[in-house]
Amino acid sequence: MSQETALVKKELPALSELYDVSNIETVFKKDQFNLLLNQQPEPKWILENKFAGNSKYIPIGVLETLLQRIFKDFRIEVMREGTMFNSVYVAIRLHYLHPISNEWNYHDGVGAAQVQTKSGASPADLASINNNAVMMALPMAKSYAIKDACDHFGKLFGRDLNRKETMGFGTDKNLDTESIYEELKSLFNEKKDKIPSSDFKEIEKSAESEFDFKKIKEYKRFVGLLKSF
Amino acid sequence: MGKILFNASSAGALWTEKKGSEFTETNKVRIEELISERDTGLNKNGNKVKWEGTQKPNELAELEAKRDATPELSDTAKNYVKRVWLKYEKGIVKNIKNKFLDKGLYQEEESISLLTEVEKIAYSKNEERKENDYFTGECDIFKDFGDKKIVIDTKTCWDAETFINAKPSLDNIIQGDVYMELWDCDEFHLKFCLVDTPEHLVQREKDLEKWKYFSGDMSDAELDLLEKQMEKIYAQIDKNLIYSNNDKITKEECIKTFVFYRDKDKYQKLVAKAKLGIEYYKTLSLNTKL
Repeated sequence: MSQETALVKKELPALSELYDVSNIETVFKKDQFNLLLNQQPEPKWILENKFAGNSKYIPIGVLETLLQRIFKDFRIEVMREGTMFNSVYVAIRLHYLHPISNEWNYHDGVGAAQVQTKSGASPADLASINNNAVMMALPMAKSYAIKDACDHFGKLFGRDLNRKETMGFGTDKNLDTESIYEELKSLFNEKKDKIPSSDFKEIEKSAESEFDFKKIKEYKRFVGLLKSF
Repeated sequence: MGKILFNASSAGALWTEKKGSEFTETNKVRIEELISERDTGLNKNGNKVKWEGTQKPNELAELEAKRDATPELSDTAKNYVKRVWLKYEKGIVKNIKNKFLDKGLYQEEESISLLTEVEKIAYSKNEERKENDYFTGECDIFKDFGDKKIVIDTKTCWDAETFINAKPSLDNIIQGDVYMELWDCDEFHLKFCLVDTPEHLVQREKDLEKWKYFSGDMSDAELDLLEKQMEKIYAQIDKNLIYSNNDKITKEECIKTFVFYRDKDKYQKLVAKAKLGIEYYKTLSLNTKL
């Protein structure tokens, strides 16, 4: 399909090409794991906050259960807390053990909650603060901070609940290229004797050359053909 | 001036004849008839015919002049050589981009996979560009069967309608002649393929259709209604451009093959045209009046 005029084929590398090929299995697993984190949350987990324009949220209890189920090991570090205008705020660091890399990572989150004042009093009137107001607001701010940190994980943790513009998450399809390449190599060794001589050269070249992401369609093509022999 | 090479895919332009100058097979037969009439006084049916005092001597002279005329480049060929000149001398290349070419580029491997699946032959995309003194080219597939060697060019059709009407063009045929020479092959197989259109091109078709009815001042309710009305059109676009899930279409019928055989005489004529092209090239300048 060559043309006299220069029809320049897309030369940008595929995302998968940027990864270290020797570490492809881990990359593939991480990609699959990210897919899990980007599943839609169960509708029954989602509640509406009537005090915040019916915005949707996942209760902290559900989020903590999810954290335990998915990461097995996590801890929350309160980095800072304080007052800001008529609110208290908390900044936390959510540490989690990544199940694929087995390394500790973290996401930061911030949350704030308004300190309740007596009915009719200005929210800025600190003299009218209710008893226990800070005691109520501070854990609330901490919960918001944890939710904020959890948002970074993906849709499953409620990231896009109140977003109009979202993008679907799919795995990088090229990442399973190597498993197809491995299948080709193994089928080639298994069926060497059954391959017609006129096809041997092409399949051998494909199966015995170094792994190449760009050859995914060729690998698939020859796997299909070898299965038919 | 460096080496000037004509691309196989465009060399068909060189082959075109100047209007009225084409010496056809009919012309050749007619010359033989006229010579026979002149020499024997008999026509092809064996009847006695006159020679002197008729238009036949003039007709024969004209046909012979046409046959023996120095080959010339047609206007199409000259325009093509000008494009090559602009590319080599000035680096100017017109960027041709359309949905048909886009699909061809994106789905080339898909078409090769279709061929392998249906024909049960291992095909690999050729990645080697070859050249000789006049031409350069990169065929899609080169296949050595032992007893014969073939080159294959796949043409991925835009949709079922272009596929059903697909026929070899002069460019396709000459491209094959050049490939057979460059790869020293016996046959050229031109294969038109019908494969699924990539998702982003299908989406572009849908968007284009939607923009026909869309207006920036539509209310949310009107937009919802438009989306609903577009559903049927979207479904038809999917059906028109995606075939793998259509149970009325078999993979076998998604390939249309034309076979051409190597003709060394024809290639020599093409070389003569290429030589003319190079001579014409040498006379060109950006402000040429030729």
